[in-house]
This record gives sequence, structure tokens and C-alpha cells, in this order.
Amino acid sequence: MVIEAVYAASIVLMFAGFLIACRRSFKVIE
Amino acid sequence: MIEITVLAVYLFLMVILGIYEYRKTKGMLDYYLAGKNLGVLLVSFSFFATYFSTAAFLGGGGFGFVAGFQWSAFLIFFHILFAIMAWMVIAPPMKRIADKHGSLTIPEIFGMNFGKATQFVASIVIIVFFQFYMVSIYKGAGNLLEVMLGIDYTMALLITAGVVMVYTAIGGFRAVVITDLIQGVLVLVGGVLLFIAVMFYLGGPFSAIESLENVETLMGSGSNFFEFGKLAPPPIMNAGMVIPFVLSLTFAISIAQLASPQLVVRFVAAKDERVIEKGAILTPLIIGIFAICVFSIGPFGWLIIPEYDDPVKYLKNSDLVVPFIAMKLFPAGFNALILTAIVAAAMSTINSLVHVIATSFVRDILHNAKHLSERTELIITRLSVFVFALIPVTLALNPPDVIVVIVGLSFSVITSAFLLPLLSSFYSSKPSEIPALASMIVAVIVCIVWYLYFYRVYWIYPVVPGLIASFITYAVFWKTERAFSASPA
Repeated sequence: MVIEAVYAASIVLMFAGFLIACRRSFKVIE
Repeated sequence: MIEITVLAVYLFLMVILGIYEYRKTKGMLDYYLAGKNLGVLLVSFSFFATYFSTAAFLGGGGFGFVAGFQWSAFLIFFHILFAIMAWMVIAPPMKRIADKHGSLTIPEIFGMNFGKATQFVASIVIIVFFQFYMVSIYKGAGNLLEVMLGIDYTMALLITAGVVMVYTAIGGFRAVVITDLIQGVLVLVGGVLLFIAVMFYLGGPFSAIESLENVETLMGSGSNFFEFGKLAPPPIMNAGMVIPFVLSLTFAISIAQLASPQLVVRFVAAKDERVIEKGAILTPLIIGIFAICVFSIGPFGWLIIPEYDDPVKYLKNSDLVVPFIAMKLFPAGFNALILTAIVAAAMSTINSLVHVIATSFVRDILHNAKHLSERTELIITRLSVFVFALIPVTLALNPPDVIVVIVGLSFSVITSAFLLPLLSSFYSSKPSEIPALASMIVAVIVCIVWYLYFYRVYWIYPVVPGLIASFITYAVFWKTERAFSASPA
């Protein structure tokens, strides 16, 4: 159960980081 | 035969790239930081390739064979977390501050922010402990070439060192990052292909998981591989310290992304802050994809290795798990690619370490001790690359016990010593030398003492006590200094 949760958290974190970085990058362009 | 041919072509290509970049290297800024003109692909893949050494393929991928998916899951999680933090918390201020001061090395940033004493100590820590860190990577590459290709261990070390020092010495940082780009692509493609091959061989991820849950292994039922706190090497299980061991070691390996000088110096070499912004999108993604693929392979070794060989050998040395799976699952041409990817992972880390040692030796020690012309400093840096590439080779040939101990804690020392001074440089409104210097020295001492006397009792990796000690020391000295400066004379 713990392991499945950590795997899921890793994937969510990876995409969350990707989206935040995209947002920051577009803000810099503006 | 095809494996040796592919490897020889790859090594030849690296040397050619070094010679090509030599013609573009005009002065110190070019040699040290590629003219601070790197685009996003070079910075990102160079960061990725430098960070993932053979240890990632062999240790990170293989140790799941012993410790199960708890190892894989936490190693993946911490890798993604600290990759994001490195690019969002460390990179932007580092680029700004290094550009403001014109710093060429990480200790030089400390020198500008804190003072020359911190710069000197940081440089000594880099030179001493990275030399020992290189021993472990040379050994990994040497063992791999010996086991997989039957090349004599000494010869394998000399080939690896010879190629790296030639292209690094002549081509400088330009050669380092351009070879890193190729090595990074090889490492990423190799890792993803290997994971796909394992899944294909086992009939897909769901079938693979079901088979592993139902298989009987030397570690008990296959379902143990999906439990948290159940599996580890016997001394750790006997001490009842499986969870602290897994959490502290996966944390220790991953947090190195925040503070290792050979990694964060790439932020300084970026062309501008836009490159850092774009790198923050790309790099955690490729690190995440590689980590998910390679670190998840180990436990599935129980469905492959027992068909061909005695698994006890792989329990004793889990570094053999990933290369063995690669050699068995891929046809001759493809397994040559994977083997080359693992060697590339070693070389991309060695070139960055030796470059950071040589540049720090000249810029942070010699440059401050004696006035030399830029041309002389460049020549000495190139010669230093040869010297610092060869010293760890001699140690790796037949390492005495004391070397083995220092190698084991070398990257813990670097991370613990550098993280707080880096954060203080970027985020403190009044960076102060005494707290930074004290935290660095205490971190080094605590890491060494913990590793020698407490690690094999509590099985908590030295980075954790080292970082805690570093934070406490910094806070105490900072408070004391403020109290003295606030009190009336």
C-alpha cells in the first residue's frame, strides 16, 4: 500500500513540477 | 565482438569531439564554463548525464533485487522531488549571483559571498573527496568491462581514464557538455529500452507484477517485494533498521542534486535565465522517466536471473543484476548499446568530476596564492586534469581498506558540506563567513565520525546527521554573531 502510494505520488509530483515549470516559463516570456 | 566494436566507436567519437571543441576554446571562460553560452538541451542533458553515473544503472537499478520495490519507489520519489528543487530553488539565484560576481567555480561564489577562507576550505573538500568518489566510479566501469567483455581490469581502468582525460584536458567544459549530451541521450534511451525489454519479456507490467507476487525466492514469498520495511541485507534486517536504512539512503543519493558542485556549476554555464526556466521543464521530466524505468527493474530480476544463473551471486553483488538482464534480454547489437550506455554513464560523471577538481585547484587555490597570467592558468588547469584523472586510477587498482571507507562517505560529505552555504549564499540577506565555514567543517567531521562509528549500528546514511549538524551549527553561529554585533560595545 505504501509503495503504491509513493509510486503514485512520484508520478503526480513529476507532472505537477512540469506544469509549474511551464507556468513560470510562460510568465517570464510575458 | 560487436560489443567491443560499438564501444571502440563510441570512445573514438568522444576523443574526436574533444579535439573539435579544443579549437573553439579560446580562454578561461570557455575552458571553465563553455563561454557561459549553453542552451537548454546541453545544460539539461549534461546535468542528467553527470548525475547518473554507473551507480544509478548498477546500484540504483540492481539493489531492488535485494530490497524490493520500497527501494525503487522512494528512490524515484526523492529523485523527482530534488530534481524539481534543484532547478527551481537553486538554479535561478545561482545563475544571477554567479553572473553578478563573475564567478567561474562554486567555491568562488562562496569566496565572493563569505570570504577567501570558505573558498579555500570548499576547494579542499572538492579536491579530496571527489578524488575518492572517482575511485568508486572507476571501479564500477572497470568491473563492468571486465565481467561483460573480459577486458583486463587494469586495462579497463586505463582505457576509461585515458579517453576521459584526453577529451576533458584538451576540450575543457565545452567537450564535457557536448560529450555529456551524447552520453545523456545514450543513458536515457538505454534505460528506457531496458525497462521496455523487461516488461516485454515478462508479458507486460500487470503480468510481471502478478508473476513476482506468486514466485518463491530466496527472500521468501514474492509478495515481500511489495512490502515496506520487510527486505534489506541481513545485518540491517537483524538490527530492525530496514525503514531508516531505505529512507536515509534513497534521500542521501537523491539530495546530491541540490548541492554537488559538478552539477550546479552547469546552471552558471547557461546562456541566460530563460535557459534555466526551460531546463526546469525538461530536466525533472527526463530524470523522472529514467528513474521510473531503471530503478524499477531490480525486483523483476527474480523472474529472469534464476532461469540462467544462481541468484545468490546477485544477492551478494546486486550491481551485476542490470548488466546481466541487459546481456540476456537484448540481441547482440542492442546489448552493446546498453553496455555502452553504462560506460557512458561512468565517463560523463568522471569527466565532470575531474573538470571541477582541476578548475577548483587552479582558480580557488593557485589563483589566490600567486598571480599568474590567464594563459598560464589555462595550461596548469589542462595539466591538472591529467594528474587528477590518474590519481584515482592508482587508488582503484588495489584500494586499501581506508580508501574503501573514504569512498563510501565521499558524496555524503560533499552534499552535507555544500548545501547550507549554497542556500545561505542565495537566500540570506547578510551572508556571513563564520557560520558558513563552521557549518561546512562540522558537516565534514560529523559525516566521517558517523560513518566510522554509528552507521553500522543505526544504518542511517551519513548525509542525514551531516545535514542536521550543518544546519544546527549554522544557526548557532549565526545567532551568536548577531547577538555580539547587536550588543553595545
